[in-house]
Amino acid sequence: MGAHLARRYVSDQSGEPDPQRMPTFPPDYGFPGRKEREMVATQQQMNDAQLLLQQRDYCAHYLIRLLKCKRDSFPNFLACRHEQHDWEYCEHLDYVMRMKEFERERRLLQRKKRREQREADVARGQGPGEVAPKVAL
Amino acid sequence: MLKIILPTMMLMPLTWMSKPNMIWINTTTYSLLISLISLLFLNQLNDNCTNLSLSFFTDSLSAPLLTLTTWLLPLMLMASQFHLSKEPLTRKKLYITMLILLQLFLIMTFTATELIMFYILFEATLAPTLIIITRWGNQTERLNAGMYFLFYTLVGSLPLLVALLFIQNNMGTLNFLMLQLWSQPMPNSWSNTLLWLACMMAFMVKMPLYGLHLWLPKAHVEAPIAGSMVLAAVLLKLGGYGMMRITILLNPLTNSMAYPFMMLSLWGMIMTSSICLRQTDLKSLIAYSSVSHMALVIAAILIQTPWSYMGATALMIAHGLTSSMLFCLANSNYERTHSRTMILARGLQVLLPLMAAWWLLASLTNLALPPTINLIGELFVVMASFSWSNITIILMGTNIIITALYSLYMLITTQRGKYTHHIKNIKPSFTRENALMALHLMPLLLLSLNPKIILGPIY
Amino acid sequence: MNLFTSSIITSLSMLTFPVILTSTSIYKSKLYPQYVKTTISYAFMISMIPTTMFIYSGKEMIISNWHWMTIQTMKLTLSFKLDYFSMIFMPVALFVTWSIMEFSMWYMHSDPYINRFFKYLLMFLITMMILVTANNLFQLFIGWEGVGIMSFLLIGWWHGRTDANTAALQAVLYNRIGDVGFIMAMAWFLINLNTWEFQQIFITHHDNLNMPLMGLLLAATGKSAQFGLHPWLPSAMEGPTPVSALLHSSTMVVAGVFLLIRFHPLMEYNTTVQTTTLCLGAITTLFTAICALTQNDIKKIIAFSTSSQLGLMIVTIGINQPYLAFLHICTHAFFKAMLFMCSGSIIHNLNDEQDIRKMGGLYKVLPFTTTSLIAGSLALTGMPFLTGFYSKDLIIETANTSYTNAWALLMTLVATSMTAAYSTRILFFALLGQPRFNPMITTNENNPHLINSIKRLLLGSIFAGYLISQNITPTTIPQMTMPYYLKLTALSVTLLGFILALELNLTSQSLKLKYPSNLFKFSNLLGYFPIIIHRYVPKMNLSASQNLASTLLDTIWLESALPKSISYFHMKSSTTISNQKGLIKLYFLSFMITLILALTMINFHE
Repeated sequence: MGAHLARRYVSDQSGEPDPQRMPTFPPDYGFPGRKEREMVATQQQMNDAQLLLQQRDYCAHYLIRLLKCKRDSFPNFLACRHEQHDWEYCEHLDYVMRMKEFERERRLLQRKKRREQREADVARGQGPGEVAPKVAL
Repeated sequence: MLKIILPTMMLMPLTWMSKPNMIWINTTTYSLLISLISLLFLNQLNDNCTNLSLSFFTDSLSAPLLTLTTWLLPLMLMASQFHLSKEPLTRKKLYITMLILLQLFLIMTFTATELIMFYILFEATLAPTLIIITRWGNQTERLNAGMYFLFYTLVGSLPLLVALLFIQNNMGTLNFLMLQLWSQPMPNSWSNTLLWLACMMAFMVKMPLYGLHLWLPKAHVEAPIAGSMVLAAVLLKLGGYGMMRITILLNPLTNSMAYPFMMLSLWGMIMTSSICLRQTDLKSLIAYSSVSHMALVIAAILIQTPWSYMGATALMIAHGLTSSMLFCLANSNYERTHSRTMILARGLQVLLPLMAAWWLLASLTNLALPPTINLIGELFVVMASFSWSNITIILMGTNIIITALYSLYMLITTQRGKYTHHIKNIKPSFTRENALMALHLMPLLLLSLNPKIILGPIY
Repeated sequence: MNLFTSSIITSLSMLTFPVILTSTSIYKSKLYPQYVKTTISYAFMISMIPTTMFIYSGKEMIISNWHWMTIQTMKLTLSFKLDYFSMIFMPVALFVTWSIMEFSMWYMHSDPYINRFFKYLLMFLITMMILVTANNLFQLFIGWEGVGIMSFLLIGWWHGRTDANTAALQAVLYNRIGDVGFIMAMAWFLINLNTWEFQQIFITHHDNLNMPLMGLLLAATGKSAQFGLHPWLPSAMEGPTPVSALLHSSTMVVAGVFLLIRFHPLMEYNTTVQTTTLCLGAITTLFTAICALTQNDIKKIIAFSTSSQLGLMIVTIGINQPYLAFLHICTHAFFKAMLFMCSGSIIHNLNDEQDIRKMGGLYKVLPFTTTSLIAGSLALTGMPFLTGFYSKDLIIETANTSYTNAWALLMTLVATSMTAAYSTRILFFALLGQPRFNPMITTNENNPHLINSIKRLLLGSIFAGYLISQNITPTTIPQMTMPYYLKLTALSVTLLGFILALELNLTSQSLKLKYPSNLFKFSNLLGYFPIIIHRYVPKMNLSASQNLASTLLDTIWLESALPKSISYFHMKSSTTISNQKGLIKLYFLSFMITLILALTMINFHE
């Protein structure tokens, strides 16, 4: 029931991105020097740690560290607080980043809509700031 | 083959020459021994068949049915003891002779190589069954029931004789093993349609197909216990056996001809099982449940896929044992309350706890609890029909639900609840009865350990 | 390595010993319940070994040991899947059952067939273990059906009562409707994927999985009493209380959820089925929570709360979090079993009184039960740092932050708040206030069987969630990021429910009884569901079978049209055709006519 849902149901939903197939714009659109995020854990490491598919994200190296710590201090389940925190903090940052991506996508979509509107207006003979002839007259 | 047929024949002199107090024990023991011999046939060494002589053969389809037949004779003898105890000695012996004769015919029917010999023996089984029903049944309606039994099956099977003569003329042989190799595809024409009907109707009536099933509840209800047992366990399976044997002749016509019969059996399966929900008569309920289970077998045989054949064979054996056991249980109630009405024998669990356990197990096998062979049969049939057409799952599913419902309705009505006062002074269950139920149940449970011996030839 | 499999097999086969021993004289002795209980406790301890090893090393395993049959290309073996789900669930189920067994030694001690009762309970547990550890669909089906049948026997334990028989039959019937879905899924998997083994099903790709998944969803609906097929669950309260405890905590009802959890690799990418699941769960959790609000039978309230929690689990599967749903199964088992045992203690102590209006003031006479009931109810509502919190709060937070159907989410939140409301109602009516029960009753809860079993589960209800969630290997990504109002949603709706219910209870105590409103009737009569479905549908079916199948088709069309009409026409025609009918006068008359004619002819001739 986050903000996106309220927007989706209550207000205009035409500019609402679909998170299932999201980056419809090129990732470096507006960020000329944007680099791809670096995946720290390698495929081999994740395989060795037997991570589930949904856990193989950008924080996987923290998780691997956490799992290793948990195993090393096995019976003591209270250990590994720091590793746990590191992993969760990384996931938090990841979530924030995903929300930012979502917001970027939303804004870009809205901008695209605005531009299309303006172009359509221009095509009909209205310049920026002008109103439709019917209204003006 | 003679090692089964001859001892079975010699059971008759054994019956007549035994001392009066030994007739039951002698015949039961010896027939049990015979059934042990027949177990050997279950071990089919090669894929095709085992030729026993020129006129007899078994394969993995007939061997389980053969074993079932021989297994059932001692059980029938055990079940009938009480009900014949007031008869004079000669009549007892005559009754036993009839049962032995029936078994003899059945054994030969299941192993016959020639279709015409199969046909003759198929008809011959009618005579002892008719005598058992009409002579030893309890009510006067038994005559009517016998009439229905005889005429339905005769009318159905006479066209088969004509069809067989025609096939003999055309092909020059009626040998099952030869027919497999020689059979020509049958194009779709009016005469071939009639030939198909003539060949199949005899077995459809025997199964029975819904619409032609009226003789079955009547015969079951009126027959004495051994008659009901053998009818439900083996005689109905003759139809299934015959259909599976004769469909090799009738390709590819079966594909198109099957539709009306499939529809009839699928519809009838639901109709008959919902009739069960309204039955007050215990034996009639079990009889209708037989019709509904046999409808599954008909549907499976008409689908004609390996899975459906396996399902049909397994279901036939499973149903043979289960329904026979249910009839025995119904009979044990009948012997105590002298009524088939379910409501008169309520709450028997309190009075006959061990019998209640048998009832429970019999009902559970009847509703196909995994991993019994009933489930294997039903599951395979459902799989086959699902792949034949996805929509059939609705009908099959409804039938599964209703089957569970009436089985448990029967269980609850007879076993659960408060007992009525008039049954307080009933006899406790005899060891004989418990042994009888155990002998029904043991094969059922043991077969679920290794179901492949009853899965038929295509396994 | 060897310890892993061998201790699993030991603990599973240990459970079967008391069943096998029924043929010996031990079954007749008074010690049999004790024996069963001890066996289960040993099985629990042994099963902890592989679970600890699993937690340590995260190693999953399949035991495949008996080749049952090979049908054409399909191989069926007896195989056990020892993965995350079965390894965690086994000790939980065994622990809960251990306590329930001990409890029923107290609760059922006057029953003449207590040994049989224990055997049935044990078989119930065994079938559930088969279900949980199964590695192929057929083996799962064995456990699945076995659970259904054992519940039939156990719910109908007091079969002298008609209600118990009806409830037992209802349970089997509703489960059978679900089984159709299961069988359909089995058939579909066989035909399209040619296998019943889980691994092979999951690795085989197929484009359209809607049909089998809908079948499985139907199966889960039947078994886990989701909306539409739910009425059997409250009816099942006719069974003895230990049965309700076992049925509702760790066996049977969670089997449906467990099935969906098992199949989540297929559901993951199928949005249609997921949305259906989500909506189904949301309706169930809300509807049953509404029903629970106005019930007066203490067991019925708890039963509906189970149903509501099951709905919550299904919602969790619907938002694609099977691991959370599984965690909720585990934590739910502890406090739900304990709630039932507390209600059993109250019921037994008040001489079989189940109506909460006739209780009151029990906090003085049954202090221990009261403590546990309160702790259990708080755990159920998700009070922080009790067992329920660790799964329920996570579920609601995840649902809140996930990109999901807001309608379903709203339903779930309302239901969560109602959970607090009906829990308050139990506490308020049963424990607080003035006693309203018969003063002649002597209550006594100081039986070690009762105290120990509840105490064990009480500890479980307080600490189990913490221990389980701390120990298991991280399986899902925790939802850490949300605004504070979302973080507090679960807690605030629960508190809202508590306060509202308390205020309403206090207010309505001094109000006069008015004519009940329609909303009250809707809730109290279970949404008119039993009235409509349990009256109309059976009546229609039975009259159809009587009128259509029996009378119209069998006796009129099939009997009168074929055999009877044939014999009738034969008789008619034979009588018509035959020339001798015994009409002597007529014959003589005709003879006379001929004679007269002849005579006159002779006359004229002359």
